[in-house]
Amino acid sequence: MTDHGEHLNLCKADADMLDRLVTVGFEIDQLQGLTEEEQQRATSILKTVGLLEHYPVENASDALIDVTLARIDQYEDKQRARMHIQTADVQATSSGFAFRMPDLISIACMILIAASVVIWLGRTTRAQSLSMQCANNMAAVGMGLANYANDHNGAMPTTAVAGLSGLFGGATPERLDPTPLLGEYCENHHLNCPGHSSEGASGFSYQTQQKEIWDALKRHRRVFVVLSDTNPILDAVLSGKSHNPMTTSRNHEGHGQNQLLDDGSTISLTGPPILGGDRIWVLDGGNHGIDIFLTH
Amino acid sequence: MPAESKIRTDEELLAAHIDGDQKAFPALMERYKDNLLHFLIRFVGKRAAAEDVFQEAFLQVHISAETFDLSRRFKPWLFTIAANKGRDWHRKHSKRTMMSLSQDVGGEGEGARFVDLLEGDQEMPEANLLETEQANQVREAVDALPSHLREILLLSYFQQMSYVQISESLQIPLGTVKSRLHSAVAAFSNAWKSAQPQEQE
Repeated sequence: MTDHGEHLNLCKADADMLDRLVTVGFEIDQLQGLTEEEQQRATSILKTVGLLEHYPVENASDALIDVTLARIDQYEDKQRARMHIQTADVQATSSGFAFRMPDLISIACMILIAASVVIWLGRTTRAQSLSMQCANNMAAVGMGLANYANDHNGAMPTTAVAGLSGLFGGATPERLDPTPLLGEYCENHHLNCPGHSSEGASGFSYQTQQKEIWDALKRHRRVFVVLSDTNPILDAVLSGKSHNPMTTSRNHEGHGQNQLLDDGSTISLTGPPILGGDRIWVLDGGNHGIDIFLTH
Repeated sequence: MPAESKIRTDEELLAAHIDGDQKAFPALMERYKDNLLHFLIRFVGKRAAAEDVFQEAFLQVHISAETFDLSRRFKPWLFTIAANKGRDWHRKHSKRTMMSLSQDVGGEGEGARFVDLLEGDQEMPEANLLETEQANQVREAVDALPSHLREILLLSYFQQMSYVQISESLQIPLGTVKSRLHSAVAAFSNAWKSAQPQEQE
């Protein structure tokens, strides 16, 4: 299979014929006046490059265009935020008159105020940028899940979660398992949030339910959360710390969290409650029969 | 035919996008989504990565739309951007290729081995195996090509771009384009033959 140290090339007759085929877009019928030997050679080249047609490819999913458009929107948002900063920057540094002490003091104050605004905007923009990258990663996982389900008769990759049966009436719950997606359906870096705090949490949390609830989620045709920024309650429980059910994920320095919904879209929330009154992190015993509980 | 039912060209769609028509860009993506994704899957070898590169390519088209000369054809420009993004992906994920063809093959230099395609006529895949084993063999043979050979092979065969178009798009000399395509075909043929089961004497 390997060709150690040797350069490969075509013989002159093949190379010349390949050049001629390229000029006619590999339409052999367009080549006029070929001798029998040339005809055979052209056919042989076409047979070789024609093997490329057998490379396994799949058509694009409908979600690909939506995800691309979302990415373009995010880029535009980012650009607008940058423009905002540049405008503030220009305003802060414009000058051009003779200075007196009161002027200098005024300018110094203005610069201090403008600098604090720029620093604040810079932090905000950086946080927004990281949040967008995080949402992009989620969208890529969502597309991977859709493609996986498409290739597996609608089944989602799940795995049993041991040790939580007490919360689920004695039944072992299942959660989404991203492992089978890696490589073919999404990349490893898609499973991480780039906006995590220095304290640690960087991954995502995955919807966890009893098998029957999974089925009910699909039957109800209700929008539900598939994955989210890391569950802060679980972190607190595991480390024996007290926890507040209204806590937001640590992934974005405690400022809100992103969620991937089952329709492939992503949303950004400033608190744990979602549509219908359920909470993302904990079983809240709501009236809807479907609670959200994400583990990681 | 009523004027409103006229199908807009790629260039007209791009012009409409620049003018703020919000339906134009999705229509352009819809038109090329399968063709471009197939090209990228063959180029980067992974569907997930190809979808990432697809998004980056169309984002770049959006960013650079106003600089595009609308008297030129859109398709070669799109595939050039996609090829560049695909090359960036290869650079980021570079690993040793299976063949020692990572250097430019300048043609008939010392040490070159010449393949005569007529002498070693290719065995075509048997129909009943096309979908599985032999399709994978084709994939392995393509994936084993260095990216700079693979992109020229794919652009010339699937997009039917001429040597001049490829040379202008990738900004490499015409002679280099030719020699790379020759090398790509020779290497692909060699890899394919190597992957075939040897006949018993």
